[in-house]
Amino acid sequence: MAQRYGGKYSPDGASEKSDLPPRKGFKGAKVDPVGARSNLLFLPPVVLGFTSIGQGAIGMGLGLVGAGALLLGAWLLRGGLTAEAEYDARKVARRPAFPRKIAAALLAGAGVGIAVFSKEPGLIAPIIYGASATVLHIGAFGIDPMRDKGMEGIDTLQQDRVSRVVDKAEVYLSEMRDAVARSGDRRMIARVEEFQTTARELFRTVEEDPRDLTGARKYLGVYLMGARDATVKFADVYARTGDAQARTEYAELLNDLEQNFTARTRKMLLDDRSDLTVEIEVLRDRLHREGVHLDREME
Amino acid sequence: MGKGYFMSNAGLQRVSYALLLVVLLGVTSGWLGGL
Repeated sequence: MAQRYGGKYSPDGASEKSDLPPRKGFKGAKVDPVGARSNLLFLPPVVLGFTSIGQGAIGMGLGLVGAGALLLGAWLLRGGLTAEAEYDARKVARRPAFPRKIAAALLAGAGVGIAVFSKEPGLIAPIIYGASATVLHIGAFGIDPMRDKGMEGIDTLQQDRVSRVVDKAEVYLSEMRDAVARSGDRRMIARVEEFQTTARELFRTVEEDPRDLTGARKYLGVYLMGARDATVKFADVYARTGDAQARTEYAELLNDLEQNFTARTRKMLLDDRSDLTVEIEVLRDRLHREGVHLDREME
Repeated sequence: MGKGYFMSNAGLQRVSYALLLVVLLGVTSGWLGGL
């Protein structure tokens, strides 16, 4: 989407200073995992669809089924790549419930097999072409992460609860982004993106330690919902009237929210530290009582 | 690229991808497909 240019020296350039240190826009940025490579795989089903049309009824039917398989495979691959990027981005992650990339490889093989069969009825040629397509697909895109990561000592039930809450919070964030885009104010759009980065830091902290959920639930639910509602109202008002007062107030709200979210994240990290201290103290005490001393062994 | 290996992981991926595209486009366009 085209954006109006605006910088420090533009007519409505930066004026108010926020007391938080400025963040770089790059922080939290990520590359879209679905690249041109996987998008190009949508081309073969289109080609197959067109070439199979002149092949008679059976040929066309088979060709279209093969094109459908290839299309479904390309679509699953996109989902699989996204899921893998999410898996890589987290320190604690479970393996995907449905192995999309493997299914995509099998579907690519099936699609190629059907396409060959429609032109060369038999069994050997379709199987050879299909199998090589599957193997090459796995070679090119790999398979899904098949193991849970960093799950030792984590209650999966608790984690499911956390991921449900975080999913809902992500929906609020994306609604906020949609709404503020309507206001057409570049600086506010950038400001909301900064706030989202802060909020996501809190999400990740909760995900890594599900016990933090009770303390953070308000932040992930009520506060974000309120922020979204305020954003919608602001966008409506600002798009219609360009009210500078409304913008200042909204920016202050975002500042407050950001400070609160940062403080919460810091507090949860401190709690984690005190847990660690307790663990260490207990173990130390025990070792002490057992009479294990390093200096005694040294003698 | 690791020493002593014929091809790096990324290189292998690239070659696989190129071959995959050739197979997919060749089969679907009717250029490949004979026994």
